[in-house]
Amino acid sequence: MSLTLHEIFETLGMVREAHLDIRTVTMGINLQDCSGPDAREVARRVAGRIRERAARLKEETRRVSREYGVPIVNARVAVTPVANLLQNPSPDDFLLLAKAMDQAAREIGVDFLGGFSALVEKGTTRAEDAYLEALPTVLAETERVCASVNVASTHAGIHMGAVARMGHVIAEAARLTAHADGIACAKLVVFANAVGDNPFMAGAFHGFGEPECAVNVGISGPGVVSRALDRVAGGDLGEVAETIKRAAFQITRAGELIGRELASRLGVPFGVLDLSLAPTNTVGDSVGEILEKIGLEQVGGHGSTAALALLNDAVKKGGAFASSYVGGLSGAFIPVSEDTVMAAAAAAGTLTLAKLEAMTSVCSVGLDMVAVPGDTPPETLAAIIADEAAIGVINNKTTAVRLVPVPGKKVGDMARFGGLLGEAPVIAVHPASAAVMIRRGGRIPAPLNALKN
Amino acid sequence: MSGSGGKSGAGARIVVTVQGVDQVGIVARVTTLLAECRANLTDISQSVLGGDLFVMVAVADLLPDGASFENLSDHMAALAESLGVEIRVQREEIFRAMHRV
Repeated sequence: MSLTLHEIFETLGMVREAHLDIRTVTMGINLQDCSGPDAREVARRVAGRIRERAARLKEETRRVSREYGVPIVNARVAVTPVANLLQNPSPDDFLLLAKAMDQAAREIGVDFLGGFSALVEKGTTRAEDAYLEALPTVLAETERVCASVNVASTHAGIHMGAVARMGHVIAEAARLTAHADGIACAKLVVFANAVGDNPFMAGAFHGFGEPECAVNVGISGPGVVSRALDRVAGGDLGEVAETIKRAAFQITRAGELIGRELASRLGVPFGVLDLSLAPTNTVGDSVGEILEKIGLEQVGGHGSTAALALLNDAVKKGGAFASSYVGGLSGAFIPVSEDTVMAAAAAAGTLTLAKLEAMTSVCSVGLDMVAVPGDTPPETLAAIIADEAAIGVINNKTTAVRLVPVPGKKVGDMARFGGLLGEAPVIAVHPASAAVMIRRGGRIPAPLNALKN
Repeated sequence: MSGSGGKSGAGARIVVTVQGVDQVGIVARVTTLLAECRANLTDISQSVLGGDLFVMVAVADLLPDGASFENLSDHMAALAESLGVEIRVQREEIFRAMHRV
C-alpha cells in the first residue's frame, strides 16, 4: 500500500517540530589484541586501530542521515576497557595511552571516545591501581576521552574500597579543572552492573563478549513523546501509556532502520538499539517536560517517581516491539544539566538529590550530571555512589553516578559546562557524614536473588 | 528492513516533499529535475492549503543509471532556493518503517 500524505507529513513534523533524531551512533571497537609490554607501542597500536576502524564513521553517518532525512546528532567510538591492556604499567603509561586516544579521536572527528574504563567490582589488579591513580590527570589533560569504572554488580556485590577511591578520584578531577567548573567529572561515570553495549557517553565501552566491531544506536525523541502527549491531555494514565508506546515504536523503528543501514555500509555487525529517551537542552526536548505533561506541577514533587516509572516502562514496551535487538541501558535518562526542565526544577528547589535518587530506582541511569558543592567531602561523594550502587545491585539493574563537585561553588550557584553538557544549579548534599562506613572498606556482599519480598 | 541502495543511494525509492508559498511552475520544475536525474515518478499528489500554502509529495524510483542520491539532493536544494520553498528528498523506507508494522 502506498504511503498516505498524513504519514509522510507526520514524520516530517516529528523531525521539524519535535526534534526527532538519532542521538548517537557508537562504534564499538575491540582492542584486546593491542595489549603488550611496552606502553608506547600499545598506545601506537590503539590509536592506529581506532583510526582504521572508524575512518569512515563520520562520513557515512552524514550520508545516511541525509538520505533518510533524520538528523544523527553524534557519531562516537567506544573501545575495550583499557585498564587491562598494559602490562605492569605506571600511572604515566596510562596518561600516555589516553593522550594517544585523544589524538585519534580528534583525527577521526568524534567528540567523545569511551572505554577508558575498568571493571573493578570485586577488586583491583595492580594495573587497575595504576589506572585509578592516573584517572584524575587523564580526565583533566584530555579533551575527548571518557572514562567509566564499574564498582558493583549483582553477582559480586559492592566493592567499597573502589567506591571510596572513586570519591577521591572525582574530587581530584574537579580540583584539576577548577577553572572550568570541574568539567573533567562530566567525562567520568561510576557504574553498578555496567553493560558492554551502551552507546551513550560518557559511560560507553566495548565489553568483553562483544564482537570485533559493532555499531550500537541510541535513539532519542523526548520531544516526539511530549508532543504525542498533547493529544491525550484529558485521557487517563492507560491512554498516556499507550500514547507513549506508540511514539516509542515509531522512534525506535527509525533508529533500527538507520542503524542497520549504517552498519551495513561500514561493513560491521549491527549490535543493539538502546531505547533510552535522552534529553538535550533544546527547549521541547526534555524528559522533565514529559513528566510535567503527565500531570506534575513541577518535576521532583511527589508523584514524580510514579510518572517516571510509567514513562520508562511504556518506552521499553513500544521500543521492544519495534526492534529485533534491544540492549544497552534502555531507560529514560534524567541528566540534570542536559535537561532544561530538570535544571529549572533543581534551581527552584523542587528537585532534590534525595528525590533524584528515588527516581533512579525506576529508570536508568542514575544520578547523571548532578552538580554538588565544591567542598563536598570525598567520603560523601563515595557514600552517594554507594547508595546508587545499592539500588542497582539489589534491583538487578544498571545504575550510574556522574557527579560534579563544582570547585568554589555553593548551593544555588550555577555550574556551566557548555555545549551538550549544559548548565545546572548546584544542589545540596546531606551534611551528615558517612565517613566511618566508607573507611571500613571491604565489600558489601552480593545479595540474595530469591526471597524477593 | 534491509537497505536497498548502495553507497550512492541510486536504485532507491525516494520521497520528495515540497512545502511553500504557491506559485506558477513548482510541479513542472520539480518533476523536470527528477526526470533529468533519471528518477521515475510512481506517485504524485499536490494541494494548495489555506489559499497559498503549496504542498506536494512525489514518490519516485531513482534508477541505477541515474544520479546519485547526494547529487539529486544537491540539485533539489538549489531548486528549493531559487523557488523560495522547502524541498526534502528522503528514502522511502524511513516513512514505511515508522508507520507500518
